[in-house]
Amino acid sequence: MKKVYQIEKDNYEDAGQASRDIKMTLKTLGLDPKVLKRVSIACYEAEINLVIHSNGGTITFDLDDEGTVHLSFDDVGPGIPDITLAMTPGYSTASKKAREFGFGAGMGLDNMKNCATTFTIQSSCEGTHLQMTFV
Amino acid sequence: MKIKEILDIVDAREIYISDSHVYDIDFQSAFGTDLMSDALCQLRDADETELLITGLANMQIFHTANTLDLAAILIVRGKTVDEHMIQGAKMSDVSVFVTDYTMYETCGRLYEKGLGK
Repeated sequence: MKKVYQIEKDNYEDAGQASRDIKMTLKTLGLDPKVLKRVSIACYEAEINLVIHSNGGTITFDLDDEGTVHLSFDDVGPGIPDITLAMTPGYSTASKKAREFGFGAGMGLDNMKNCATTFTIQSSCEGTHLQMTFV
Repeated sequence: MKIKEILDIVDAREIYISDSHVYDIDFQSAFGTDLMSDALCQLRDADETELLITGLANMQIFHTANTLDLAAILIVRGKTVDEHMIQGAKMSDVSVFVTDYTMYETCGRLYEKGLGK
């Protein structure tokens, strides 16, 4: 099973809908509730990051035959200048608008990493590519 | 602590009931924040017995509650919940309540009566 969702920059109104759909799909498929919670949190955090920080991108969700959940987040820039700094708990470059919507604590990437079984991120000015798996 | 008692303690009103099961939940604790980022970090192991208390009134509070498997949100400072937001609560299976008290007084009153002690 594979699904792709388009995520728009600064679309705070619809932010979270893709993650909710992925959660509903996995719940229907009977995924372990503890794994589902981790997927749900990490997916929502990453979706919010796409809305807040990127110029738009996609979420690709896949559930393989072994029951492993794969999530990929691919945007078209502007990229993360310093990933190590961005991973530091409490560091944030979120806009005032993002904070008004309840985000920008600087905990997102760290939270995703803690939720995921595997976590990889690459970034350049052409885009950021984040992959997570969950078992 | 049942939701009826919580509503009495903070003079809160029902805005939207997603499922009447919310009346049967024995709430064990609450988390008060206007930062959904904090809720997503701190409530990773939460379940329906955790009450989210917030002064935010936007769609992201419902996505956050849904993500964390929470059943109810208590909005403080008498924020308006419009029809559009109620649709968001419905989509996220979350019940919504509003009190006119501030975050500080809401949390204080509930803690004093034993929620989360």
